[in-house]
Amino acid sequence: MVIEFVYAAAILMIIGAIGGLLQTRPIDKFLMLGVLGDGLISIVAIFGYLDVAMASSFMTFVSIIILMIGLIRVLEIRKMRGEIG
Amino acid sequence: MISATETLPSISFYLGLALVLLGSLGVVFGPKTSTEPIIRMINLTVPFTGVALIFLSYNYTLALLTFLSVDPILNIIMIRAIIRLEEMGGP
Repeated sequence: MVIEFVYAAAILMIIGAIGGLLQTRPIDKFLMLGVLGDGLISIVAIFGYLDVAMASSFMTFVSIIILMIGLIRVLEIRKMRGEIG
Repeated sequence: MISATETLPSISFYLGLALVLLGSLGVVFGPKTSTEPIIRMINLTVPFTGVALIFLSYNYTLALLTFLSVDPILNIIMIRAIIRLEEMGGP
């Protein structure tokens, strides 16, 4: 039995989407969205567009860094105001 | 035997439709999205990936590349707005 690579990428994307939507801690959400981005890079590479795969991997990395910076900044503001911690 | 490479655009198209539907429901009704706007912002990545898959099924590279490049700029602007609202103590 041969498992095609397309179905592996599709299963990876479905698992990443459902896990990323249903987790509540932000770090778990980032990890699951990393799985989703890996599926996207895989299915772009199956189509043969390797330049788009390169740009997609770079953009996913930049986007996750920006979201993490924003998350830490919001937590610092809430801690400074005394709402949490 | 039908190879998977023949049905590759239709797999990409329907997977993209499923991700758009699931992700938009998750953005609107997801857990803890009403109290923390940054979790809603993280959930917005899932329908974005679905739209990128639908673009991929039409075999047009430049549109996909532009759409993927716009996502961090949108994230920068929205995160900046969320931080300013959080500093002002607004909703």
